[in-house]
Amino acid sequence: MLVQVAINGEKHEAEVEPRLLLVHLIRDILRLTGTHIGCDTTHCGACTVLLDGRAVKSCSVFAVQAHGKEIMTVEGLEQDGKLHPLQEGFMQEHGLQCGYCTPGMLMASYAFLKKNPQPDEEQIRRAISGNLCRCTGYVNIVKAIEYAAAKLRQGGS
Amino acid sequence: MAPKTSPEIGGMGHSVKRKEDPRFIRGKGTYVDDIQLPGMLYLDIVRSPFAHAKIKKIDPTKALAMPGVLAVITGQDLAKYNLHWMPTLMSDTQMVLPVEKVMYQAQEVAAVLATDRYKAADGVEAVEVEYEPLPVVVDPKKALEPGAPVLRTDKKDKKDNHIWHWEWGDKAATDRVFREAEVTVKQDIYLPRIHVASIETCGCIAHFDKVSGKLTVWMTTQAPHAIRTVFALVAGHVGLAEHKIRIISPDIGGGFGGKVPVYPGYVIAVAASVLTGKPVKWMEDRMENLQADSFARDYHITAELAAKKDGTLTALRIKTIADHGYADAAANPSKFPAGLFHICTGSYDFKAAHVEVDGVYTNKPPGGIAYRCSFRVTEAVHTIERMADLVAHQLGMDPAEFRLKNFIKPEQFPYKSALGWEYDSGNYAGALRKAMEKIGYAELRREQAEKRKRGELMGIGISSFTEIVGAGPSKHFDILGLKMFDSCEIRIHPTGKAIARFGTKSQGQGHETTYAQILAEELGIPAADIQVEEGDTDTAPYGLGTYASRSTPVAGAAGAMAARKIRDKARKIAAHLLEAAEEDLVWEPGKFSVKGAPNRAKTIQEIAFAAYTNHPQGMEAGLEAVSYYDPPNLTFPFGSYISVVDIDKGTGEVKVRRFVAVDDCGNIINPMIVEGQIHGGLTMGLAPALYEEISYDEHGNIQGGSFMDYLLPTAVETPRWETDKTCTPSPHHPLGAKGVGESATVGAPAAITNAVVDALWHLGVRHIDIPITPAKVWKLLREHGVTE
Amino acid sequence: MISLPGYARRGGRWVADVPSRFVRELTSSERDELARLCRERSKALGFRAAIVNLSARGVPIPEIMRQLGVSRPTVTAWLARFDKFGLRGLQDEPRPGRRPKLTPDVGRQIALVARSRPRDLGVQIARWSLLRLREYLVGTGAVSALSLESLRSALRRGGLSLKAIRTGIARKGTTMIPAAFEYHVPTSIGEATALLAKHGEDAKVLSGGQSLIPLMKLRLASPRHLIDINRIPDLAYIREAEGVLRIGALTRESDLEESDLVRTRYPILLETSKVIADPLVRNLATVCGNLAHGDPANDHPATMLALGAEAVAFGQKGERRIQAGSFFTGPFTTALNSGEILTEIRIPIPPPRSGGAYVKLERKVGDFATAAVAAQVTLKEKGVCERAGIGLTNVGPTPIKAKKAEAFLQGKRLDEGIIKQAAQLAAEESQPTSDLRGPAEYKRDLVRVLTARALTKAVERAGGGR
Repeated sequence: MLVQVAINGEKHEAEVEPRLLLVHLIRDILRLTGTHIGCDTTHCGACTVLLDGRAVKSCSVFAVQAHGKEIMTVEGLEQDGKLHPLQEGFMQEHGLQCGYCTPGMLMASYAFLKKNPQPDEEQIRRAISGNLCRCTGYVNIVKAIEYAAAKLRQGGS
Repeated sequence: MAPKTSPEIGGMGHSVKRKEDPRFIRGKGTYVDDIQLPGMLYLDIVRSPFAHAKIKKIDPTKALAMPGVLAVITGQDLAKYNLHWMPTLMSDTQMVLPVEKVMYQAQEVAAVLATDRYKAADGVEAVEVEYEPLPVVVDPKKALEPGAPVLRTDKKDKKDNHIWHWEWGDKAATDRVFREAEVTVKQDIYLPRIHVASIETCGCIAHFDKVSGKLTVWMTTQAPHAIRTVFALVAGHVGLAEHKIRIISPDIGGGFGGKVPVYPGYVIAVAASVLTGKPVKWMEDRMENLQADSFARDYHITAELAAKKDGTLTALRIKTIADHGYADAAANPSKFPAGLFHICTGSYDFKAAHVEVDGVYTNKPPGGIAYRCSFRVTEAVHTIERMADLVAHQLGMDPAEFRLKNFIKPEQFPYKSALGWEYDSGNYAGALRKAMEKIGYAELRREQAEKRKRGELMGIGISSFTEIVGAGPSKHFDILGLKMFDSCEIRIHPTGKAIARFGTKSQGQGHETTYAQILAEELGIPAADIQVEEGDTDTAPYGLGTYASRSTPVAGAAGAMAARKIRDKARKIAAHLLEAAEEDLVWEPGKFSVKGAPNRAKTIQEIAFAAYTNHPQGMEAGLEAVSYYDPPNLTFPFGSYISVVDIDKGTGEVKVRRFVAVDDCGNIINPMIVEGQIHGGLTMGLAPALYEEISYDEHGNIQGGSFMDYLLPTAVETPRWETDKTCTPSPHHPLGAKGVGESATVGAPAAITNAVVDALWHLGVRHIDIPITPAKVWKLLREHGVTE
Repeated sequence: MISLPGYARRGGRWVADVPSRFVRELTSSERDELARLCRERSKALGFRAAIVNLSARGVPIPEIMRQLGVSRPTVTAWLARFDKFGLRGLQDEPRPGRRPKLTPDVGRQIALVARSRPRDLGVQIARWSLLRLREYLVGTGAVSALSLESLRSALRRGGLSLKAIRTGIARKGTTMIPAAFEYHVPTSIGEATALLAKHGEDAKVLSGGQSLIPLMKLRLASPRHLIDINRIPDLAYIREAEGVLRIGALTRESDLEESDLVRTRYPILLETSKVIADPLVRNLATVCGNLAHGDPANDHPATMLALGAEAVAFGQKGERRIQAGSFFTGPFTTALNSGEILTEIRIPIPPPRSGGAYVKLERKVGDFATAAVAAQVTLKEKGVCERAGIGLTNVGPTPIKAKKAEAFLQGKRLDEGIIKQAAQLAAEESQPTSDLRGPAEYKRDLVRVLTARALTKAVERAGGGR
């Protein structure tokens, strides 16, 4: 089947089997490898992308379901050579170690901050509870998201 | 300790932002599965539904008839090349693919090679295997009983399931102290099977170039050099010589010990690539990762403590049954089949101690690797810290007071333990006092007393652990005979920038940053100007890899030593440039100046340029050095953790309300990274304490083989960790550093368990095995008459 | 109002709006049996089956005549006989005779269970034995009684030998890659149900997919046809009308969380959706899917039982409503026919002085409940209970409506003592089994503890009768 999607604003199309998972379309066919695979059973969130603005686990969506939709991946966060405040926050607050869960964390928190620009710690922790991190113990991820929220409120990109 | 270098140089003690981050936050890291080579084939694996069964027939017909399926590889195929078995790191053997029988559920049975991963998966579905189930041995104690089915029928002389017996310490002296003891306590403690479950699973791409005869393997490995040698030793007879093998460990999505062993999937992928001459990718999925990769722990411990009535500890005696699954595939130093379990006297001054461990075969996956822990140290720490609490409570002493009484005193260092270790340095009371102050220990005890009156359940738990990391001195430490040194090679370029390569491999620890800081400290070249590389065996010097918190203690030291060699040469060049005697030069980070004439100076950059453009007559050009560092001793980081828990009487749920961790890892390279390591370690201490376990039913069926039931804590379960530190440098490490990546994993479970038992002690509860599930707590509550 | 091309509404039902005579609508078992028979068209029975089959797929009589080369009377005669006698009408000598012990439908269900891993069905054994399989089938009400011999033959008919089950042929590897399927994207609910009717049990409806897709990746579900209803317009809504709160088939869990209506007026719904899986899964998972999946571990069923909700099922025969109380018929089975889609949930708007709560114990975020309880009460003056609804999650083969506890509460003042007694009754009504989340007795006691907590909260929200 023909699938047409816009990823990070760029149009792509591919002829795919209906059973192809969205994450494999993104990684293996369109070669955007920032989106990772960590569990296959909707538990880890490493594959989180935005599908028409909603954060979803791309390992549990078929590529054909995304036909005609907008997808945003971690590669789309940086705009005109300027890091998104979340990316900046993860770096400043040491919100990542091995980096494997990071793209999923970034995308989940990106969608979350759009809905809730002034979250408290409890809300942030709930918002990233579909994303597993094995390295950081989450403390600095929470700080990174707080950093970004503050910066975004001040009008940072 | 205030940093000696400026922030611009960014030597030790600066929270330099990580050099790794810019690529990771943009999704531009390169993990194994991100690599795609032209013409690459995919490997997927058929696995056994049985824990123990004879393979009667493998029928690949239907699979081979499917479009895109190129081959089905079986043990018979590998047996032609004698590659169906391979050695483990503990000199045992394990199957690559079985010929006669399978020994655990989810064991590799056959492999399907196809043109893409979907077709490979279809092929796996279509392979038909006929099994004849055999009696299953799950319980290691039953495995030792006479008449138990002998599992390793491949070993001709094997008549039972006992692998090895190991003991350490003075048995007679220990028994004597116990006979004369005023107080003794005894407790069975089980540390269940768990799995590191790094978020990236294991996998590789093997690419054998038929023309050049060179094999390149991109691989999720923590120890690329050792892997290269193992491959050469195992496959030498089929023509893979070590100079024709290149292992590349690219970005690694977490290791924690799980990426040290060689798994059958890697070997099959290599075989498939050698056969086809095409690149072959194998990536396991999460269930394969949890069900078949090496496990950690599975120690059945019986511990006894002897003490005086006044609370002075006198002796420790431990017997342990170690369930290794069907093969001993632990990643321990060869001399120590139970790893460094004999650090079990912990932070306390014992007169005598004796430890016995027996390794046993069962129908479970092989292993006995670490779970972010230096060779069985968590097992040791959990035991001693649980036992210390038991004695303290038994004697009616406050657990903190009890510890302070029994700690090895600062003036006793270097301290020789009853089990033969020489602890390098420590100030245990200092760390505990700091933790108590930070958490408000006295106030919490008052709150607990009040709550107890109202029938509410609250507990406070302490763990004052001593770690042992940085393996290790070559006299005692080797893996498969390879001594556990590590290495660094530095090249300073003419313009004063540098590249440094190490024998280790970061999996998230931030080596590109911290190693650069070590070199910046030693050479005064800004950390930003130093490129650190690891993980490519064609370019990096030989090293044993990153695990057991050995990178800073061993490779970090190698970095410092190599840098000092460079500084020595730089001094000669500087003397030449400044026309001064070498001994008249003064070093400060980044430059040599003439004693008494600070303006007559040459920066390291100027010296580097001169090394290529204007070096003294008779001296070799260039500014490079290599160091292979063999540490004189291990390092002994320590800390004191205190946790506060509240227990729900109705549901049995345990909530960690607060957790204070005071760590001492000697001199710190990057405080930000150290804190991050502690946060992560604490979370991997919380996880097995409350959530994670892999168990088996009586048929050997794995329970908890996916993230549905293997419960990694999320941000919601994880408390907001509170950290602090003391600093007691290692006297023998060139930088006074000790290693920190695993301390928290090792120390945290006991702090949580002790808090839970502390909350329930007055009811008559004495011990609870981890993971402390709501169901277990509920049972204890109801047994002791508490309900909502 | 929904408009369905090709359909007309007659007598309150949707019927196919085509001027021809067709065979009556098939049951799913008939459809499958016909398909099986058709494969042997050389035999008379297969030939007759082909006639019925074509008609059932909406092929007009002239076209059947053309395709099979038969006369009109032959076609109409067999269609009439089928209409009247069903499959038996196609036999050479139609006679009531000895009925087969197991209908094909039951046979298929047996095969399905036998192919599953016991643990996935909540049975803590490694592999089925004949005895354990029978115990399960009888226990879940799939069959009333069954001899081992008929079980064995049912398995054979399902293409499974006991040896195959015992030797685990049904399960190898964990590929995490779904099997191939044909993908359908209907743009109307009528088109969707027609597709469902056409493909019968070979088809699955894809809405949120957050249960189905992982099952497909594990190859525990391998539908040949996937009918994606996500592109059908106007199925995502949350609105109050005519005394009911209506939730559409494509309303996502996160829509509930973000709905002001739900947030302000239905805290029990908000509480339920907030503890389902995790926030990312909830962005796709649908409320109706959570119910239609029939998983006793899902959270909405208990809440819908407590609220006395109604499910709207839409099939080729039109629309029907099913009370939540009779919706969950077995493990992973609901009262939905195989050709029906759950299009809407209707919750009666609670009268004044009502309140509800959902209390769940989970091992961690994202886990199914160890146990959970939904409670909804409506109070009269002075805190006397007018109506109480209690639903239990994951403590039985289906979601459980704690009827005895509900009845006990009616007419009573809901003080602590009464709540305790009701909680005890609810615990007795639960039928938990032991698993990794804990032993059965623990879960039963949890039901007691959580029921009391849920009721207390519900009463508080109802204003305590003040």
